Amino acid sequence: MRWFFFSLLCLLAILFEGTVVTVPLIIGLLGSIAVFNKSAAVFLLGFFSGVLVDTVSLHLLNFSSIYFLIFLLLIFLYERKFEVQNMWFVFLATFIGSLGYLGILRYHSFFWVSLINAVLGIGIFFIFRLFQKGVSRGNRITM
Amino acid sequence: MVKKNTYFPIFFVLLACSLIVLSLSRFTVFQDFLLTIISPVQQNLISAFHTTDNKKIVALEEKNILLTEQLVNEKKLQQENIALHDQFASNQIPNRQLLAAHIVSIPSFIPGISFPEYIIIDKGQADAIKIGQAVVYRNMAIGLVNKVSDHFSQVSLLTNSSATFSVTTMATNALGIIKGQGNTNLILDNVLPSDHLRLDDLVITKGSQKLDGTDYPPGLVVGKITAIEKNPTALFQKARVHLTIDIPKLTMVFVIVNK
Repeated sequence: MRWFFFSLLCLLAILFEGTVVTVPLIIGLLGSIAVFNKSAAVFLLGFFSGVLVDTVSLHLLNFSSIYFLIFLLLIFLYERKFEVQNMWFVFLATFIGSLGYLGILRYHSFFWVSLINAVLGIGIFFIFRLFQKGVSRGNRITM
Repeated sequence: MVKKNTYFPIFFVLLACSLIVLSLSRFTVFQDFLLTIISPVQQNLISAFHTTDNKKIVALEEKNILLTEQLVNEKKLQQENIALHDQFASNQIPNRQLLAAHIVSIPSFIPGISFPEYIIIDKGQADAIKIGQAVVYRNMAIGLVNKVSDHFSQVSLLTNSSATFSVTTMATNALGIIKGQGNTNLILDNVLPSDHLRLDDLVITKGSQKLDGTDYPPGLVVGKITAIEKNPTALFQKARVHLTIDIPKLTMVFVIVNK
């Protein structure tokens, strides 16, 4: 059920990204999902999200998949040493991830777009945290 | 914490799949299929976010565009009218010999940087245009047709660096050869030292028409002498001739077809 909900969110984010906005919402979403769900299934989500993003945005197919997979791997590698369930990590990860993604695709004003995306990423993080608190009361999340 | 051996295999498998698909990305069948499914959703999403315009505003905007188009067409007609009136008021060349043509392109022309050496006109073989026919505007020489297709022709301007033709000066009747320099200044060369050149004198074509009527007829204005180079030891004297017409600003020219 949880993964169905995440898939739906990713689909919505991709549709918005490919249609209405130029902000790579999927990066913030994937980062938040990876932070709260330490499961390898996130890689599958990243892979298929990348395929859809490239299809909708008419980029080279699976370029985004590769980028998202590497992005998620780096989050997991960082998570082995440090605490990642905090606002600042999500902000930095989303910001740097968006910066790299938009920079490679040579988007205009990619610095400001990445900043906006990082702020949106924090918003997604807080929503997930509230959801998590409501589901399992025993978790302690530090800020 | 996810153990190293849990996610690394999945990561590498998915990465390999991505690389394989990336290398096959020129086959867009899959992408097209996905887009066919997703595009209706995208369209609905766009229209949902599109602010619904007031019908009145939309109608006014459309009318504005229509009026702008009409304005442009009227301006074009006005310019055509003036050009035709000017040309046929001039009795230098009999009217029945002239074919009006619009300039549709001035290749490699950058205002202020480069001067055109060719123009493309909207008349071709279908309109009985032949290579070598002279192109004029009023009584001024513009160039010679050097390439012809069915409906278009390329005119090599007299400013072209390969243009050469015989001319004479109006006041002093000095004979010489005009050589194009790729800009608005032409060189009048091969003028005998015994001939007299005068500043601001008009240079006109001597006439080099062939039996089939191609090439420049006599009496077409080329330009005005702006500088004279007379070296006592040189075989010939030279002069710089400046064009009297701004060719890039023309919209219409006339081809001498000699019916």
